[in-house]
Amino acid sequence: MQDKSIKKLTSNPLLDPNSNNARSLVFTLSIVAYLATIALLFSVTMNRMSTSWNSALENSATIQILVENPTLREVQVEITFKNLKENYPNSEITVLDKKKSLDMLKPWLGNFNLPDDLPIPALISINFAEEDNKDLTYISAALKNEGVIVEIDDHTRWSDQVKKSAIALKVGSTALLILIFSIAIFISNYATKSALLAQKNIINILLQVGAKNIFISKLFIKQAGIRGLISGLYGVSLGYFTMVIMSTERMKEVFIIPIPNFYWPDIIYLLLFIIGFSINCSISAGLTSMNILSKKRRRR
Amino acid sequence: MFKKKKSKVQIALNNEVVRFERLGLRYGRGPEILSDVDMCLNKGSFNFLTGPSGAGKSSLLKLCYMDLKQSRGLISLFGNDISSISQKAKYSIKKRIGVILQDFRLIDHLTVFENVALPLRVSGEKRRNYTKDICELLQWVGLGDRMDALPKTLSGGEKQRAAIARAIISKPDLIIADEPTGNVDEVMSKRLLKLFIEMNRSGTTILIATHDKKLVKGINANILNIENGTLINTNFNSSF
Repeated sequence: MQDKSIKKLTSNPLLDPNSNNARSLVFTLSIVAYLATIALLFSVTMNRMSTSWNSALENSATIQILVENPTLREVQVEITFKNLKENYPNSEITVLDKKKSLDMLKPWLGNFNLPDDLPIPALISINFAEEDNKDLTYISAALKNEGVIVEIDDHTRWSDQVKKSAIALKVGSTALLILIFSIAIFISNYATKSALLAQKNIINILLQVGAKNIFISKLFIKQAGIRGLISGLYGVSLGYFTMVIMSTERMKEVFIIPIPNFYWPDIIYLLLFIIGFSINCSISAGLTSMNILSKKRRRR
Repeated sequence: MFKKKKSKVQIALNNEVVRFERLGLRYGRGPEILSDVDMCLNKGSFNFLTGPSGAGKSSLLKLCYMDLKQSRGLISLFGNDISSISQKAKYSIKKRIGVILQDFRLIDHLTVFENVALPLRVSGEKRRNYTKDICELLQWVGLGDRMDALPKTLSGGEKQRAAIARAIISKPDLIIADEPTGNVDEVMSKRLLKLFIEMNRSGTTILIATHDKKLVKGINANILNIENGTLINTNFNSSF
């Protein structure tokens, strides 16, 4: 019975788990973890989005037929469609109706009720199949021979712009992630220093009973690791739900910038992030405590 | 040209446990609070360090358990000049010294049992190997029913006994005590003294700083008297 009670009591950690700064530190680290989670998910989804945009743009093209006469335009659309079908038998070729064509103009003309008699070009979109050759120079020449003048947009211009924007966003979010991780390191260093100061008496007692620096450092490494893990869990959970909410259709309508989609496999990144965050806190606490204890030893 | 290699712990060939030679100590740029101290404690000796408050008793004890670094002179512990030994060797020496201080230095969030187990826990001992020893020792010092109590619930005397139990649990070769009976009544004081005598009989060197004249008179021991930072006389108490 007595041994049972001792067993329960001897599991107490040597460092005081309820020291003054414990809660505020976990709170601060949780905020850092939250911001880092947002930056990480933003970086991951930006990467994913840019890949998907580029792939979509590179595998599609739009052909404009700029003839105002409706009868002639219809004939030219038919010739073009036939030619395209012959040359790209496996690809998806769609003649866009007037409504869809107008929709495509909306980003340039604004969300107004456009007049019915507004002259708009006839649009044909092609989504290339892998088996088909994507070269459009031949079709342009062939249509010209048949008297059809078309303007082909292979999306190269947009693709380059999208690539540049995506790279800028990726670099930005990665830089933000590094910055936030640096902040986490500084906070952890500062927390270890203040913990060493707050638990000075315990450390002196441990040194007095013959504890080595590495033994004391291990206590701080463990404590910081656990705090990092708890903070990481809080911050990441909050960041996860923020991203889930932001990726809903309703939120996408609210925000000016497009909010990237968030998928459940991203949880793997988040789990790795929590482990990384905890290790980061531990390493920083270990190095700081070893440094401080070594200096203390030298003074003795 | 060659880096001085720090020596490992030596086995003391003579009987000297502590040796001070022309030792001086000052804090920062202040005046010397200990000057030209020559002292030698032999193995198995029982020693009292006496003197008025502020004479430098506690500082001298701190030098003995390497909590302070001397400003000049030589400190030899168990035959090792501590200024020329490695950190690892210092750890080994420290484990051979049990320290009892005036302010008890118990960890507030640990129970009496855990506080006493501290030196063994720090040296990597398994709990199952020392549980029985600690229980017995705590029974002996009268804390058998207070094992699971936290230090803040203990009286001054109980704290003192817990601190003593912690100092002797690892069976050190040298026990250094700063006013160990300062917070206990006369009965407990005698009981603790008896514990020190028992330890001494089994070969442990004892150094007790005290200004309790009754304590000094009751035992056959060396008396080291310190005044104004100087060890002015060393004599053998033959009154026992």
